[in-house]
Formats: sequence, structure tokens, C-alpha cells
Amino acid sequence: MLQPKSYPEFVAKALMLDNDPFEAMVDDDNPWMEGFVLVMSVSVLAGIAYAIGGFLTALTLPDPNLVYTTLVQGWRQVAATTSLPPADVERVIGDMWTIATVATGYAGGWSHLLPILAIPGIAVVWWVFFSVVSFGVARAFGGVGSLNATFGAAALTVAPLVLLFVSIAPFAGVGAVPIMVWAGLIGYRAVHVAQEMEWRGAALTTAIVYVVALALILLAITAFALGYSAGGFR
Amino acid sequence: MNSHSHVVLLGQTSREEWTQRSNWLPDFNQIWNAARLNLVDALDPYERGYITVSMRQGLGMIVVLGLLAGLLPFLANLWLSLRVGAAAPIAAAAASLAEFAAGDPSNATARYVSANASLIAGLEPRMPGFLAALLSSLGLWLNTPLSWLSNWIVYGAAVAALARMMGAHNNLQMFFAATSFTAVPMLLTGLAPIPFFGPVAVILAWVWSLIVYYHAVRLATGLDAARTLLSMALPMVLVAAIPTLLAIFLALLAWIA
Repeated sequence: MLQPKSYPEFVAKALMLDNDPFEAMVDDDNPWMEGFVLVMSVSVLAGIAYAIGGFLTALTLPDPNLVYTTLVQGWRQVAATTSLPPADVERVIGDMWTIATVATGYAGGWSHLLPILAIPGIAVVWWVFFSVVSFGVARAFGGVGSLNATFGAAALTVAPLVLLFVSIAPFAGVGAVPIMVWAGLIGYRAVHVAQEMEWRGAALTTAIVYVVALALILLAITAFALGYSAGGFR
Repeated sequence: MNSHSHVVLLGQTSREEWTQRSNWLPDFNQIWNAARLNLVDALDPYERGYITVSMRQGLGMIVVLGLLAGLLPFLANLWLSLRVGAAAPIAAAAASLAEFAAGDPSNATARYVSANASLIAGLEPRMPGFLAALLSSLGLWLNTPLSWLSNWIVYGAAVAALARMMGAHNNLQMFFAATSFTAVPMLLTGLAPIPFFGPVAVILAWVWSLIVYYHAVRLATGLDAARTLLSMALPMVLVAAIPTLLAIFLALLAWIA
């Protein structure tokens, strides 16, 4: 049975690594659906807070076109004192500026709304990835939980996203690393409870999931860098 | 179900329990004991023979002390950004770059960068200047407890994992509850904006915090001094080593290319 009223307590207790919410999610009559609703609820709220914060931050700053013009003029002055090729660096600054302003919402327009889609999207992908990979690895290490139960418990890894609620204030925010590490600790507890494993197996399972994720991210970055250097994106 | 029952169903915890200050903060004596390096009384004030402080209390203490420590920097940021009429990070960056360029007048690059930062700080924000200054300073203020929480979790996770591998038998909640008291000496970092005394206070805060952390880890894990120090030092060594190794690797690649 869906229990959205309990989500604030689930999230708070998961952040404190309490056993209760993990057991409640595993024992739920539909852990997969409960997990999906929990992940979506927390991540959409975090996305909205982030989007509002991005909008306010953009308002505290000058017009992006003026800032870009000033930055490029500044670079031209600096380039005169260095041996770096001005045109190439100017192009890189332009590309980076486009990515940064769209990603942060500084570019204005619809880019402000990007986090409302991006944060839940990433959260759902991470939840599915973590659940499936940890289930497979845990089974190899002697775990006994079902995939459905793992989906339920692993949904609590979304809890650290509540830190993004603070991003509603301009320039306030928390980095990706603390969120990923806190989610990792919660993930460890989720594997521990859902798969009924001893701590060593649960810790190893969580670490392997992160190593696989890191390898995939590095692969994606390398592919992007190769594509960019071969003339893509421009 | 009888409302006076001691059985608490998940999702039906009484609001009173969640809002009680004592559930979110240790009492003042515990904080004072931690500052005096008397971690035994700080972590187990009722002498029950085990750590009774909770991770929730630790989190609350870090947030409150972080906000207190950020108060003076908040006022300094607000003052600076109100004078410039720009967002606090831009005003602060322009001020520090101007100071840096003034310290080395022969450095043309520093002069150009500083001049451009001042130009950007001088551009009109898209909301009234005072509001941009106020909101951005508030945001930076909130970053103090957030960065303390981040350090507590990230460094703590690494130390806890190493301690476990070295034979500790504590659980994670107990570990994080104990190490949260590191925030007590960090209160001194709030004095950073004071000229001359500020940097000394920051160094003192870090040294004092490391000592508190050491005592907290020892009490929580029960490890001996050598293994405690090793589990504390290894994450720092790794953090320093990884960028160095990466730089060497990239330099090697560039050399081969």
C-alpha cells in the first residue's frame, strides 16, 4: 500500500541510517511501486527547489551576454601576454559558457526548468541501476533477497537529495560527492537489509556498484571528449 | 490503538518526538565536555557504558554550530556585497583579485584578470542590488553547515570503512554520532574574517578538531592509537595522492604524445 505520508519520516530515518525504513520498504506489499513513487516525490521536489534557486541565482547576476562579452574581452587582454592561441581558447570558452549557462539555468528561458526534468531523470536511472546491479552482485555473494525487495530498499538512496532543497537560496548548495557518498551509505544499509547479508558482503556489493558506475561515467566522458575533439558538438 | 501505547508504528511516530529539541541536539554540557576533550562524558553523559548520543543529535549540532560559525562571515559578505551592489561571490572574487593584483603590480595577467573581475562586479544585477547582495550572502551562509555536513559524511565514510577493515566493531550510526563533536572546535573558523587573529583561529580550530576526531574515533571503534591514526591519515594521503598521480600520468601522456 502506498504510504506517501510516511515519506518524510522514511527519508529522515534513512539519512540517519536507521533500520526501520529499509525494513518497511522490504516488507511493503509492492516495494517496486512504493520505491518508484518515493524516488519521484523526493527528486521532483529537489528539482523544483533547484530550479527556483537557479532562477533566483540568475537574477542576482548581471545579464549573461554582458558577462560573456566582458569575459572574452578579458581573455583577449590576457592572450596578448601569453603564447596560447587566442582563437582556439575563445572557441573553448564559448562552448563551455554555452554548456554552463544552459546547465545552471543562467541562460534564461526554459533552461531554468531543466533540473525539474534532469534531477528526477538521474534519480530514477540511478535507482534502477543500483537496484539491478546490487541485486546481481549480492546474489553472487550469497544474498537471498528478491529484486522487488531490493528496488524498495534501494529507493531510499534518494534521501540525500533533500539536501538540494537548500539550493532554493542563491549560491547555496551541496556538491555531488557528498550526495553520492551519503547515498552509498544508505545503499549499503539497503543491501544489508534487503539481501540479509553480513556487513562485509553488503559493503563489497555497494562498492562494486559504485566502481561499475564510475567505469561507465569515465567511458561516457572519454566518448564525449573523443567526439568533441573530432569536431562533434560544434 | 491506545495513544499512550509504547508500540510505535512506522509513519506514526508522535510529532512531539520529532520536534523535541533534545532529539536534535546534545545538551550544552556534552558540547562543553567535547570542547575540553572529555569525549567520554560528551558521548555517554549518563554513564551507561556505551555511546548514547544519536546521529540525529550529531546532525542537528553540526547544522546549528555551522550556522553560528557562518554568522560573522555572513555579515562580512553582506557588508562587502552591499557596498558593491553585486552578488556576494562576485564582489568577494573582485575584492580578492584586486588585492592579489595590488600585491604584484608587475604581473600583467593578474592586473587584467582583476580589472575584468571588477568590471563584472560593476555590471548591474538583474534584481535590485541590495536584494542580490542579501540573498547571495544568505546562500553563502547556508553553505557553512552544508560543507561541514559534507566533510562529516565523506571523510567519516572513508575513516569508518578503514576502521572496520582494521577490526572495529561499531555501527555506522554510532561512529557518525561520535565524530559529529568535531564541529565544536570548528566554531572558531567563524572568526576567519577578523584580520591577523582570524587565520590563527582557523589553524587552531583545525588542529583542535583533529584531536577531538581522534578521541571520538578511538572511543567509537575501540581501536588502538596506531590503527586509529592510520584510519584517519589514509584518506587524507589518498586525497593528496590521487591528483598527484593523475597529474604525473597526464604529464607522461603529454610527453609520449
